[in-house]
Amino acid sequence: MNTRLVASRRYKADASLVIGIALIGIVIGMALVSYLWTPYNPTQAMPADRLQGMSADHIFGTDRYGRDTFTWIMYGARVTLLVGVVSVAIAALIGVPLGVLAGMTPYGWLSGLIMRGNDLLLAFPALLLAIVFSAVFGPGTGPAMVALGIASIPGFARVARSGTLQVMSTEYIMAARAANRRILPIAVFHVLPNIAGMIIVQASVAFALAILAEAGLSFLGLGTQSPTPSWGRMLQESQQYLSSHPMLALWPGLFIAAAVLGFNLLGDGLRDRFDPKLKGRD
Amino acid sequence: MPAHTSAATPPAPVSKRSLLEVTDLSITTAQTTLVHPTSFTIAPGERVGLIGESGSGKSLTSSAVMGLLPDELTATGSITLTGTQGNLLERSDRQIARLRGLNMSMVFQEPMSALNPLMRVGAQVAEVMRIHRTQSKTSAAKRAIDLLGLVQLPDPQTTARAYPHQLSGGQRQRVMLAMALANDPQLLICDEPTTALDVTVQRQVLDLVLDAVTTSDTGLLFITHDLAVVASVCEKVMVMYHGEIVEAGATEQIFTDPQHDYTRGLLAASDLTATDDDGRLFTIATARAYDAARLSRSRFTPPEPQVATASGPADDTGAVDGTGPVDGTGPAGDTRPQTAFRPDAAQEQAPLIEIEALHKTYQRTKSGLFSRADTVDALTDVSLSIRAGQRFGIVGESGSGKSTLLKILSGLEPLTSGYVRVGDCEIASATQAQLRAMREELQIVFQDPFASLDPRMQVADIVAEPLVAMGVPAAQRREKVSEMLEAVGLDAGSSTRYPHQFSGGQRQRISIARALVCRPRILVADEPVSALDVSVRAQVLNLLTDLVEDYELTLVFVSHDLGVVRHLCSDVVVMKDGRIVESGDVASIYDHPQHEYTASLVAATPTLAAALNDRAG
Repeated sequence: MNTRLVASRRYKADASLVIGIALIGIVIGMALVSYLWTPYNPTQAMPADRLQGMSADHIFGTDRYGRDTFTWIMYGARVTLLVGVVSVAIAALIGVPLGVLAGMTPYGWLSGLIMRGNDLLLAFPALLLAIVFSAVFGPGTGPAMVALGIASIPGFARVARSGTLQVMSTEYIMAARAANRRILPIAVFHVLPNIAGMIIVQASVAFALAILAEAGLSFLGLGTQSPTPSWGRMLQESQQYLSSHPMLALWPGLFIAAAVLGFNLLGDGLRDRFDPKLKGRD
Repeated sequence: MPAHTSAATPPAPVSKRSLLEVTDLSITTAQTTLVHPTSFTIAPGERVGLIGESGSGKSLTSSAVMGLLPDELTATGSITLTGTQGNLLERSDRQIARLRGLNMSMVFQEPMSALNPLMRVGAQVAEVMRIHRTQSKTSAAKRAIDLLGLVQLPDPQTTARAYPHQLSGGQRQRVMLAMALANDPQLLICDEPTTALDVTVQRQVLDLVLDAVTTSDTGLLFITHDLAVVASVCEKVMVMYHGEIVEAGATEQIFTDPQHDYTRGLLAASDLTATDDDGRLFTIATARAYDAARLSRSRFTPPEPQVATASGPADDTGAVDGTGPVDGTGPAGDTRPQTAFRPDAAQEQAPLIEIEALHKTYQRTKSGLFSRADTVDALTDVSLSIRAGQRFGIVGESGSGKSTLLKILSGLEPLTSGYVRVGDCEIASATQAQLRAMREELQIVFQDPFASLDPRMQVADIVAEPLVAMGVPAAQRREKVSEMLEAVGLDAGSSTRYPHQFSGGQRQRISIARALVCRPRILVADEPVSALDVSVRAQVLNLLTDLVEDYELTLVFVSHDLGVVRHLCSDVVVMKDGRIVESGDVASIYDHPQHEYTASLVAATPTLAAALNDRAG
């Protein structure tokens, strides 16, 4: 009874990791293949073939201009991943050093300043920040990525800080200080490797949120602009055909869901892997 | 044969009807066998000790009895308990749970984590009775208070309303004991119940356990790695090694006339007053030369120091020759190596480390916005001086401020007031650069070999850390690291491995290598062997002795273990509550303690010789 419970729990952790990686693999695979080959040219309109259903020629059908939906899904994966990578990179590159700094000087004014600034940033919803950015810099993928990245900084900073506080209280940090290591080598060689697991989990969750936010922004017309294919814009364009051709909205929606689910499952699976409480059982 | 006829062991207690009967118990994983078929019995009121090192399977055995084995393990064989039907191993979890806490109960090692932090301790004790419906709600609460009184907690009424974090470690372990005794179990299992406690507290808890089992005729299975503790508590001992009980018998017989090589090794390694011909502690490997009967024999002859041969138990004269029981003048004990310490030369020069009127107060973080931040005195008026080449021991229980003292010495913690000088560096006024230079001369070996090595770093990088900080070029670093690894007895292949691939003793060797790689003059060791098994402890202590001699180090050795300090150090200070209560050379402190705290510490420290004495007396 109990045996099964524990076993099923571990199995679940592994399952979410495997499914997550498979879903993400599909999205990445499509993005990579799109550079080499797509069934059709994404920008080539074929009025004769407009609004077709699924067929051997167009497996996902075509849109109102006769463009191949499958081709657009493949191209859309590029933007989706680009936004995820860039915004997570911005957030991690700024948030992690700030968090580590705050964690290494827990009682100083610097730590207070960083974390209160963090709280301030946390008060702005990511989408609001992105709307402000598109108002100032004009709508586009670039400003959207930067805005999403900035909005995810607080998450990374908080995770990095709490991890750093834990690591700094260990005896091996004391040993490193006794060995005369300076603050920067301690941060780079001791703290970062030991909080890497937590950061990776945070990154996969932030990635999922960024994908969702980009789709939302593009749907509102504030994200990726025409003619670059994007899943969010496909959703928006299919809006008026929702009653007559629901499949047009189904495909981009399905892929957004798959990508978000994939990164969330990956995050869950990694969290279980890195969870110190579960570690002893292996 | 050792002629200890007068020490003839009393016949092993005749087992009445047995209370617990374990037959051919074996515990396996899918791949390996962890406990080989094992059989033993415990009679009502019998106190049985199970000793062995970490990983020997002793805790698994007790878990199997309690039905608490992890699900990945399978146990076969049979376990029967009087008053219950059939084989416990064949019962479901639910059925076993009805017995736990009622017919048999357990006291765990970690009093810090074994209690629910959100529940008042009185309620936790009462809960045990409520679960098994042995008492009504009101009478359970009343009995809980009685039980807390029984385990000698001060003011049981108030204590019952306290939360675990408000109690000390010893008090929590008493609460655990009260919980275990709540339903008058027939069998009490104690798994290293005092390992995490200070010696004076340990003595009290052990007395309580003894009292409880003798008055109610409870069977006791006592698991520990400490031979002295087991000798003072148990009448029967089983020795476990690699998942097998290699030897079992009456306590005296096991500790005076061990038959198995491993038992002899364990005994030799834990006897810190005995040394081999080279003045080194015995290890499992060198234990053949150890005379196992010396501990018990010593009490039958006048304790005049003799130059007896330490070789071979098959020496009849050895039985007549008494060896000093407690004063450390074992056959070869006097040849304790002191080449690095030449008193005449050393006394002339100024002390290497000087501390005068040192105070350290910690500021507690404020608990509320308007509450005053209170201060805690960690060190009060500490003064001491250590000469070059001296081996200086600092003894104290947890919270005595000894670790704080070390941190201040190494410049890792600022001091509040006073004068501290290490070499020619005055800590209080030193710049960071001066502190760095000082730390190249003073290195630390930390207590916990599992926490003091970065799990994500390779051994070579760990050992090289002080060199990197000194700016030694990479090629030279590699050379020095491999040289040092060899010096601490690790093979060259270990440099590319990670800490988790090593055992506790090997990790502590890595830690020592890191401390000595930059060739400091002073080695500060913070409880370096307290987390190690007995046999490994002897090896590491021998290694430290060798290295201190080879590198002509000044050793500052901090420990709560009086035996270890006595073996290793020439001078000692005793600390309590941040103050030095007594200082002097080892022999006079141990044999003629002036301060009552020192006396109580010495008295409370369990030694095999004393325990065997009591048993015979």
